[in-house]
Amino acid sequence: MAQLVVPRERARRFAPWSVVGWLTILLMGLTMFGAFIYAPTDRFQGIAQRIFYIHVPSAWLAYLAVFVVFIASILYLVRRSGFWDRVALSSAELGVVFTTLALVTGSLWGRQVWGAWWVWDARLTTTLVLWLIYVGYLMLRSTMGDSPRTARFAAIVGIIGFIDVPIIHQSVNWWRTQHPTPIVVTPGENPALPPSMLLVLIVAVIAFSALYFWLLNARYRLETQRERIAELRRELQGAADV
Amino acid sequence: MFDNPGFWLLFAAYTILWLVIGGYVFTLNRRQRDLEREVESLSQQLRRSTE
Repeated sequence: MAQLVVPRERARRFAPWSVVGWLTILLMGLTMFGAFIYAPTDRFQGIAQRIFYIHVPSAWLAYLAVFVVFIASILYLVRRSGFWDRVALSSAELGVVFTTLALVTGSLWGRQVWGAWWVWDARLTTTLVLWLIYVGYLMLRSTMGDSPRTARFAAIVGIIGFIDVPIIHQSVNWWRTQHPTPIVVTPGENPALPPSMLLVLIVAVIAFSALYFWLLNARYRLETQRERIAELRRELQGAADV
Repeated sequence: MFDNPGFWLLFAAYTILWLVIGGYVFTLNRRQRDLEREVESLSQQLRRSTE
C-alpha cells in the first residue's frame, strides 16, 4: 500500500515543477532558434555577437541568484528558519554556476571584439570578485559543517557579498571601461537594439529565468533530503541510546 | 563559415553553456539518487532497531 501511495504523492508534488521543466526546454529551444536563425548578424561584430543571447541572460541570472541569497539570508537571520537557509545555499550554488557562464561567454566574446580573452576592466574585475565571494560562501558551508553557527556566518557573507552587485551594475558608468554600456535598459531612453534582437534577448532572459527556478527547486530538494538524513540519524542515535 | 574565427568562439560559447548546464543537472540527479539511497538505508536501519 505504501508503495502505491508514495509515487502518487510524488507525482502530485512534482507536477508543477515538471511543467516548469518542459516550459524551460521549450523556451530554451526558442532561444536557440532566435539566436541562430531569427536574429540578424551584427554588421560590426559578426556572428560572435550571437554570444550576447546567452551572455546577458547568464549575467542576469547571476544577479538574480545572489539577490535571492541576499533576501533569503536576511530572512534567515530574522526568522531563524531552516527553509531560508536552504534557499540561500541552493541559490548561491546557482549564482556561482551562472557567474561562471557569464565570465566564460564574456571572455569568448571579448576575444573576437577586443582581441583579448581578459582585460582588467572594472565590469569584469567586479564580476570576478562576485564569483570569488560566492565560491568562498560555498567553501565556508562545506568546511564548517551543518550548524546554526555556519548558517549565521553564511547569511552574513551572503548579505555583504550582495553589495558587489550594484557596483558591478554601475561600474560601466562610474569608471571608463571597455565593457559596453547598457543598451537594453537605459533610464529615459529606448533600447538601442533592433527589435528583432531585443525580442530574442527577452525570450532568452525568460528562458534562463525559468531554468533558474527549475534548478533552484531541484537543488532545494537536495537540501531537504539532507535534512531528512540528519533527522533519521538523530532518531537512530536516540533508538540506540534507549 | 568555418574560416571565420567568430564561428569557433560562438561554437565554444554555446557548447560550454550546454556542457555546464547538462553537467550541473547530471550532478544534481546523481546527488539526489545517492541521498535517496541513504534515506532508504537509514529508514531500514531505524525500522530494524525499533522492531
